[in-house]
Amino acid sequence: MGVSAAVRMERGYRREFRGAKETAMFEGLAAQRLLALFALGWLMLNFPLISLWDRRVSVLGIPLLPAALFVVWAALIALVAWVVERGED
Amino acid sequence: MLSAPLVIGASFAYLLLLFGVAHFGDRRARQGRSVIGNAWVYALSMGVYCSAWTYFGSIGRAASLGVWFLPIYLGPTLAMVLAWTVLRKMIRISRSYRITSIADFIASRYGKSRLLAALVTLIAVVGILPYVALQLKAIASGYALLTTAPGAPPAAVGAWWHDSTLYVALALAGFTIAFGTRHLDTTERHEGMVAAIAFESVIKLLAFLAVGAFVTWGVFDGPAEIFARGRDVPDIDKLLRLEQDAPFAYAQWFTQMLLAMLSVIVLPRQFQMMVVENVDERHVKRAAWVFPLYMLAINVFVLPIALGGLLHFGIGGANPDTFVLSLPLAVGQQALALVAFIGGLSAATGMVIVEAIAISTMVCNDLVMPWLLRKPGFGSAAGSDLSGMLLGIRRTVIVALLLLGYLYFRVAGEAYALVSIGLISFAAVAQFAPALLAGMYWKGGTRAGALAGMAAGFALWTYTLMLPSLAKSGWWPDAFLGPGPFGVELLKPEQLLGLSGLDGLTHSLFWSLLVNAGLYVAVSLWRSPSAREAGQALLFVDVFERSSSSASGSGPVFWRGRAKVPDLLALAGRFLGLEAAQRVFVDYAKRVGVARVEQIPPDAQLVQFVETQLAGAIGSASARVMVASVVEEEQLALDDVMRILDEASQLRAYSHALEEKSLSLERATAELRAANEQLKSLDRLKDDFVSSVTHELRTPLTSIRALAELMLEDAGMDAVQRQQFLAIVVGETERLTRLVNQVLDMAKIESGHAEWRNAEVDLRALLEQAAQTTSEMFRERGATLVLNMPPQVRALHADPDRLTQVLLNLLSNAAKFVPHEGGRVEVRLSADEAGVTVEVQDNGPGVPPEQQQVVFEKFRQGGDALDRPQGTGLGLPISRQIVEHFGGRMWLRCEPGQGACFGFMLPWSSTQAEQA
Repeated sequence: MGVSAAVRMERGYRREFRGAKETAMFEGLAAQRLLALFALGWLMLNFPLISLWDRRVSVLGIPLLPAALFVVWAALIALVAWVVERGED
Repeated sequence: MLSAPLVIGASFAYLLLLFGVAHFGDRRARQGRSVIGNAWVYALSMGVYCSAWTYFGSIGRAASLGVWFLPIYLGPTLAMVLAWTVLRKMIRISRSYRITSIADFIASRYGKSRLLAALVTLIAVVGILPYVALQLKAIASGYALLTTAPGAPPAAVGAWWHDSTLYVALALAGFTIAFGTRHLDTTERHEGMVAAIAFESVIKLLAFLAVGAFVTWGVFDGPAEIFARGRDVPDIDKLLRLEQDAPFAYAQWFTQMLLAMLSVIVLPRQFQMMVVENVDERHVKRAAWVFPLYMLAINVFVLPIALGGLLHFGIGGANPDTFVLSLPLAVGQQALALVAFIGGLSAATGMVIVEAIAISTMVCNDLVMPWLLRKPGFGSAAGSDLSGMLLGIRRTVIVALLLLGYLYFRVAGEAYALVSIGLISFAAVAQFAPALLAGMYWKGGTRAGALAGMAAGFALWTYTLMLPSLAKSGWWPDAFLGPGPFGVELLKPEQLLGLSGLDGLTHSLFWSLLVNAGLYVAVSLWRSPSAREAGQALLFVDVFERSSSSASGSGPVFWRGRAKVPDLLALAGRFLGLEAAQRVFVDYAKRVGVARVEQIPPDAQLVQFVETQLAGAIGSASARVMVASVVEEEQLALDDVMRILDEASQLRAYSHALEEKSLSLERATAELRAANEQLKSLDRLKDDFVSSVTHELRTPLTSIRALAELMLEDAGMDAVQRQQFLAIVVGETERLTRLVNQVLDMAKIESGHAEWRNAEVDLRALLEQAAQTTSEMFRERGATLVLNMPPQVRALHADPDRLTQVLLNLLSNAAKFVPHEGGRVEVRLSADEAGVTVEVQDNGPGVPPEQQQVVFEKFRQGGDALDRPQGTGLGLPISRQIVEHFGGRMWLRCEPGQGACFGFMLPWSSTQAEQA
C-alpha cells in the first residue's frame, strides 16, 4: 500500500501537470480561434462577399446592404466576445 | 438659434465637469483605489478613436457615399480581433522597458536610435496636425451653426483675435496641460485623464444616440419610413448600393479597412490609451469586443441621420457634416441641439487632449531633449534638477501644437471635408506599421532598414497625398498635378509611374507602404544587425519568454563596463527630481537585498535599471546617451551579445533545474509522509494483533493453571474428578498448540516465507478425503454431509496439503454451526472456463450482515462471544490467504434463513502458482 500511495500521489502530480498544459493549450487554442475570426472577418466584410448583399431588397424596412453589414459586424463581435470571455478553464 | 453665452457657458461647464472627473480619478489613484483598474474603463477609453471626425464626418460621408463610412470602423474591429496577440505583446514590451510613446517604441526596438525616434516624431507631428485642425474646425463650425440665425449668411471670418476658434484652441491647450503635465511620472501614466476620456466616450455616445433616436422616431416615423422615402429619391437610393455612379471600388474599400486597422494601433493617441495607459494586460480581452461594440453603437444611426438630413433639407440644402446639429435645430429642438454640440465637443476635446499629451511626450523626449543634450556642457554639467524643465518643455509643445493646428485651420481648413483630412493623417501614421509590427516578430530588422523604409514611405506620402491635397486647396501651385513636374508624365503625383485607376488615397497608400516595407526588408537584409540592435531585437521579439524572469531581475542585460552608484543617483536625480530618485534607489536596494543605497552593487543590472527609469522620463534614446555619459562602458560586439544571452539562458536553465529539483523534493517528501503514515498504521495493526494473540493465549492458559492449582491443593481429589480435569488440561493445551501453529502459519504466509509444494491436484479426490476426515465430526453432531461433484474435473496445479487445509477449515466451520438436529451441509464443486469453484453450504443460523465483512479478518470469530464454538479466529484468514496465493478469491454468501455459504474459486492457471 505504500507503493499504491506513491502511485496515487504521482497521479495527482500528473493531473496537475496536465492541468497546466491544458491552460497553455487553451491559450493557444483561443489565439488560433481569434486568428481564424480575423480571417473570417476580412472575408465577410470585403469584396467580393459583400457584393452578395448588394440587392434592392429590404429586411424589416432596412435595405439589405447596410443591414447585412451591421449584422455581420455584430456577429463578429459576438464571436470574439465568446472566445475571449469563456474563461481559461 | 441659441445665444452665444449659453453655448459657451454650457461648453465650459462641460469641460469643468470633465476636469472634475479627472481630478476624482487622480485622487482615487493616489489613495490606491484606482477607478481605471477596470476592463470596461479601459475599453471605453479606447473610444477616443471616435473623434469629431466620427461624430460629424461619418454622417457627411454617408450622405455622399452611403456605406463608405463603415471601413474606418470595420478595420479597427478586425485589429481588435488580434488584440490579445499583438496589442498584449506591445503592452508587455512597453511595460518591461518603460516605453512611453510610439516613437520611443520604434526607436528602442532598433537599438535606441535617436535618429529614428526623431523621424517618427516628425512624421507624427506633420501627420497629426491636420487632424488637430479638423477637431478645431468641427467645434468652430458647430458653434457657428448653433449661434447663427438660420438663413443668415455665415459670419465673415474676422481678424484672428476675434476668432473664437483661437480661444477654443487655447482653452484646450490649458486643459491638456492641466490633465497631462501636472507632474512627471516615469511611467507617463495619467489616471485622471483616462477616467475623463472614458467619461467623454460615454457622453459622446449618448448624445449621438439621442440625436439618432430623435431623428429616426421624432422627425420621421422609424427607420423603415426614412429608407422607404429615401428609395424614392434616385440620388439617395444609390447611397444604399455598392455600385453608385462608378463600379464598386473594392480596392479602395480594402485600403480604407487596412488603413484604419493599422491606425488604431499606430495613431499616437491610440498608442497612449491602449498601451501606455493600460493598467492590466488582461483588460485587453474585454476591450477586444467592447471597443468594436462601441464603434458599432456609435454608427447605428449614421445612415438614418444622413438620409433623414438629405430628405429634410433636400440634397445640397445643408452641409451634411453638421446634420447632427442642424436637424434638431431645424425642428426647433434647441436643447437637443445643444446636447449634440456638447457630444461633438466631447469627441473633439478627448482626441485633442490625448493626442497633444502623446505628441508632447514625443517631441520633448525625442526632438528637444536630444538637441539639448548635445549642447556642449549640458549633458555632463553637474546640474540642477531638470524635471521642472521637462515639464516646461512639454507644456510649451502642447500650446505650440494647438496653435499650429489653429494656423492650419485658418489657412487650409475650409478646403476639405472632414473625412479627407482624417484619412490623410491616417496614411501618414500608417508608415510606422512595417517597422513597428515586423519589429515585434522579426529579429532581423535593423535601424538602417527602419530608417530607410519610414523615410521613403513618408516622402512618398508627402508627394502623392499631402502635396496634391495642398494643391487642391489652392495654396500650392497645382500645375505639377496635371502634366507632372517638369512635364515628366511618369512623376505625376497621383499617377506615379503611370499607375492609374486608383483613387488618391489608395494610390498613395499602395506606393508608400510598398516602398516602406520593401526598403525595410531589403536594407535590413543588407548587413547583419549590430550588437545593440540584436540585443534590443531579442528583448522585443522574445518578450514573453524574458519578462517573467526580468521581474526577478535575471533577464539578460547587454551592457559591460564600470559604473559608480553616486553618479547614477545624481543622474537620475536630475531628470526625475532628487526625492523621486532617492525613493527609486531605496526600492531597488531593497529588491537586491542590501540595506543602504551605497551598498548597491554597481553592476549591469543597476545600469539597466537606471536607464529604464530615465527612459520613462526622457525616452530610451536620450536615456541611453545620458547613462553612457556617466559610466565607463565597453563596446559590445555581436559575439558579446550572444554570450550574455547564453549566460542568461543558462541562468534560466539553472533556475529551471532548481525549480524542478525542489518540485521533486516536494514529491519525495509527500511520498515519505505517505509511507510513514502507512508504517504507523501497520504498527497499530501489529499492536492489535499481538494483543489479540496474547488474549487468545491467556484464556486456555488461565484454565490450565486454575485446574492444575486445584489438583495441586486438593491432594485427596477423587480419581474421576482428576481424570476429568486432566482431560480439560490436555484439550486446552491442544488448543494452545493449534493456535501457536496457526499464528506461525499465518505469519509465514503473510511474509511470503511459507513453503508451497505444488503438484497436479484432483480436487474431487481432495474433497472426498476431506469429507472422510470430517465425517466423524458430522456424525457426532448428527448432521449429514452431501457432496455434489461433476464426474470428472480437470487437474489443478496447486499445493494439495494447503488446499486440504482450506477444505477442512470450511467443513469444520460448517459442522460447528449446523443446528443440533437436522443439520445438513452441502459441498458443491463446479468447473468452467476460468477455473474451479467450491462452495460449502450449511443450514445454520447464517452470519448476520454486520459480521459478514469481518469474518475473514484475524481473530474475528462469527457468532456471539458467549455461545460461539471453539476456534482460534485464524482459520478463515489463513484459508483466504491460501486461496489468494493461487490467484483465486474467497467469499461468503448469506441469504436470510438459508444458512451460510462459504466458497472459493481457483483459476486454472495463476502466475503465482507457476512461480511457486
